[in-house]
Amino acid sequence: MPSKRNRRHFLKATGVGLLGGLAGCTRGGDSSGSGGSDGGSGSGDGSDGGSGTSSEGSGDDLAIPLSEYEDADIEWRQFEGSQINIGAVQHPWVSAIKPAVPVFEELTGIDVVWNILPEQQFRTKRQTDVSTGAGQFDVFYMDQVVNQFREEGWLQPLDPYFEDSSLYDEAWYKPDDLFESSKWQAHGGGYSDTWTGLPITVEVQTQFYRTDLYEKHDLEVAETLEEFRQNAQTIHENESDVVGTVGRGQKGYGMNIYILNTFLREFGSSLWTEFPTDSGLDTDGVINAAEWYVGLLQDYGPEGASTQTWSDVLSTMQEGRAGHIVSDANLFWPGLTGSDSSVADTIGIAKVPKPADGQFSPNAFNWQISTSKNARNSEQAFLFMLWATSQPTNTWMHVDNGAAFSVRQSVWENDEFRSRVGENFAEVTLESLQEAAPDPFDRKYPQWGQRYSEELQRAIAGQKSAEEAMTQAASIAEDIYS
Amino acid sequence: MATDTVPGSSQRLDKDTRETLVKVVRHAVLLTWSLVVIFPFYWLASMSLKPPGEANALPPDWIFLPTVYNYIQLVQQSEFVTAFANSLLMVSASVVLVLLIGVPAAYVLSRYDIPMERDVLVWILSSRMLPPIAVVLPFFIIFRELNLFDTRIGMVLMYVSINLSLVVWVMKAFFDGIPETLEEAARVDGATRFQGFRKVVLPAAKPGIFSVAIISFIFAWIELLFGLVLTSFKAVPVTLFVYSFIGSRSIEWGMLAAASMAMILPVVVFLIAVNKYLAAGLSFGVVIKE
Amino acid sequence: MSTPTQTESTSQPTSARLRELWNDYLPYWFMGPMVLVMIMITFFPGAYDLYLALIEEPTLNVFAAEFAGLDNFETAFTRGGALHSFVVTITVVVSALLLESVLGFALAAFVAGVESSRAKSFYRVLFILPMAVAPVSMATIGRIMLNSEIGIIPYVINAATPFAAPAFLSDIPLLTVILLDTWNWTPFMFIIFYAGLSSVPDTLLEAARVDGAPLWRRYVHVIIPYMKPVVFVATLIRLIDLFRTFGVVYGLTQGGPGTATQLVSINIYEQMFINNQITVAAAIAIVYLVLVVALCNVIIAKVGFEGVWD
Repeated sequence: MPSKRNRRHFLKATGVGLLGGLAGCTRGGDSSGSGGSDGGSGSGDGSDGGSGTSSEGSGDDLAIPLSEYEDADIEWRQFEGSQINIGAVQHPWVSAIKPAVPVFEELTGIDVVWNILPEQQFRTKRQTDVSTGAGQFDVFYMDQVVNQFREEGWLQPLDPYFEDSSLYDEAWYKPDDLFESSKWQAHGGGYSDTWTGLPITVEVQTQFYRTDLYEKHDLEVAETLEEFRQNAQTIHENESDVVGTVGRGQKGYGMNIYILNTFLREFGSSLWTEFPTDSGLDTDGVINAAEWYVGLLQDYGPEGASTQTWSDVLSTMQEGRAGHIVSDANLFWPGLTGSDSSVADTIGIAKVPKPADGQFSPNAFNWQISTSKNARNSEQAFLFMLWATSQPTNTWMHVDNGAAFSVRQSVWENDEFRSRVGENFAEVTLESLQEAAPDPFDRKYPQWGQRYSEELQRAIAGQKSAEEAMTQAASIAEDIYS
Repeated sequence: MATDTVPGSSQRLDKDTRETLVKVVRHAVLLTWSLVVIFPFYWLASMSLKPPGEANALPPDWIFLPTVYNYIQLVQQSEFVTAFANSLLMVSASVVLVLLIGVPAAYVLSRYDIPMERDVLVWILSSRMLPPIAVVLPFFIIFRELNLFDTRIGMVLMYVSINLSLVVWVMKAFFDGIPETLEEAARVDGATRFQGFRKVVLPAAKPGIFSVAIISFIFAWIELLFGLVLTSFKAVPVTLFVYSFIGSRSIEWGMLAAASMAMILPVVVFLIAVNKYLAAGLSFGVVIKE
Repeated sequence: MSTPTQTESTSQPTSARLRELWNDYLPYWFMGPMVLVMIMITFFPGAYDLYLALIEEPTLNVFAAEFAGLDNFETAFTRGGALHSFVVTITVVVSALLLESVLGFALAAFVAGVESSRAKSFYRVLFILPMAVAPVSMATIGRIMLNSEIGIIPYVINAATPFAAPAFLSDIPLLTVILLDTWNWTPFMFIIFYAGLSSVPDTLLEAARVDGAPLWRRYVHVIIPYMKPVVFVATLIRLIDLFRTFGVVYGLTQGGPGTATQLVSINIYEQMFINNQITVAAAIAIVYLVLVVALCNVIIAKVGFEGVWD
């Protein structure tokens, strides 16, 4: 990793210095371009605030040469003069791609404007937009609700555009370079025959640990759940003010169950043994996984583990108050090793542990971008999606602009990229991604997932046993479909 | 507590100790609550003045070298500054407007016999009963139909609508507390009903007017949901920008704290500006002599 | 409003007639704009929610809608957890309202009694500030401050008191929500009560003081009765606002652990934006609206908002 400690120049000032500092600061610092280039820790770097137009690209200084795209057999300029509106989550992808957007604008003559919000607010806005048929967003972030939206008829399937030879050139786009699991999730996790959108980022769960504590207590990186529990115990019991491990406990369909779903697959179970009649949540595998995860957090986790969100997990680790993150998105890496972290130099990354006789199968999650039936510029939107997920754009974002979440295998094999992010991080991520099993988000996943996560939260809080909780979750999930 | 049976002779002494006691209790309560209020603000401010990565450090550095780095970052974001100014404009306009609409109506509800008065009042109140989340879709639809979507005027109207019931109800209560004899005296002197309202009743209700102004300002200033759904570019309120430091995989604590502090600033300024009116108090003699 | 305010310029007959019109119909001019705004903001949203609550599938095309009878209401209460969320909401409303009004009044009275006017101003500004914190900051920064491992509040409790800090959000979530709301919104009560106290005529206070009545009796027998309309309205409005509390609690607990802090507003939010069941959300909203309207009517009928001068 390049040193991020130099990224920011702290203006330490007191008293008079404070005024001097303010007076001396000019608007010159282009904090959006350079600041955002650190592989994803950087929301809020510079101008990617709530919304606004992207900066005007000056034709002579483009991030990526146009020739990379002009080879494609695509009529890039057919919609010259139009404008597309992108609804996005406050996410590293946005800061990584923004400096390249002038390339797209130059290439196609289409103007791009952004609406950027944090996840919960974005969901509210997105649903208001599509459910009332307003169609403000031509391109928008899409997640666990993909099949919910698709079944409502809100999403525009992309296959017609893929078949349009003026919009798509397979030889140039190289769709086989995309991870299988990403393509699968873009097809509604197996529930859709057509593309529901194009994947933009993939994150896979990994284990994080403190190398200094491992050295001190002479620990080996855990491959099995048993070993992991041992390591957590050692740290929990021998260190003051450091808990053995942290992990998400908060309810929410993207919270605690996002982690548990890794372990239940490793224990040999899956979501929906028989869709939609048997949820599989009361099978031995799920109960074993839940018992293990709940027990781990209760015994060696922080106080109040049941309410920890991803940000609590990240902050606790950053403050050096935990020995491990048992399993969470590899995208925590920049945050853990960057300037926000007090343990930046002593973080290790490894594959998620698995049961001794289980199958390694970490959960992965893809953000995708989709377009709606009511959007005014769906074809322009498709061009943007294609451009944004193409190999040249992806390579540039990852090699030159600090991103670390490519859905393209070629990027992860790119030497320049690997040396930038670190061999270890790249290797662990790539190996995990190749074995990854993303969640299939059926159309009522948000609804029953929410209830399932509530039950898991109750178990972590000690209000009921893991077995009771999962049995209850199973009957709720099946009831929702009945 | 002393009761009526205490003989008159010892009551004087009792009264002194009682007043000392009241004083002690008063100071104890006020100081305790001040501490309870100040501590989170102190912590928020210190988060905003620490370099990234140290905002949540424990044990806390009670003494640290403050850096204005976060604030400089904040004011360098032209969009934050624009939205801040935008919000100030929209919210101030809405406060003026909601007072112009609400105060006279409250006066009428207080002084005149309105048919079905209680039903009218409950109806007014009902406008603030539903959680905003339950009415945001219909408002979105209306706003699009009326071309108010993403306009400053639309947001001003929205802010008026969230505060109107408060202004009407609170001001009616204040008007109820002002004796009608005051206006009657003025009318005997030849003043019209309107003059009585403007010159006698309004000055007497000053503390009420300024408190609803403050509350309306704050309610509009921190409003989020309507701002989120009813704007996209031109009329975006500043509350949305506070969110921009909460990322999908990271939170910039220092920036978030700085933005939160910046959000409080206009309220402090407004409060200090109207502070003296809050305590105006009534001195009827002066009003009547005028 | 363009109002003829200058009494001197009486020369033109038209302006005189205008003024006559203005004064004769004063109540109509005064009420008109308010009523217009109210119609706009109550009728359509109310009708819209009622309509959604009664149909099968959400559609804006009234003619294509399928009437669902009371199905949505049934779903809300059988599967939607509506009943539980009403219970949680009422618990929060009652406790927080009690805390906030008592504390708000005590603070207002105490500050009013402070002699130094500078100290008075200081308290006035300080005590109003908590309500100016944006909900997002309240929730996000509140969460990190309450965090058992890295939060400052548990740290201070552990260091400065003999007690061990509880895990606020998981061991005592409801209490935490109530206390946080008290911190956040006591200012609302404080500011209105304080303004109410300031409106009590000095003559009235003087008379009571001369009477030799002890302070608490001056409050019970003179000041509070005088302030009754203000006390009543502040409490009623806070009651209504508490009922619809959403942002801070959702940001803090998301209604959890489990459903321990699942307020009605959170339930409505989840039905709409997670389950995508707008019709069920609308049904809950309608039940909720009817309940709160009924409650307000009962309170108004029992207590009455008339002041001593009516």
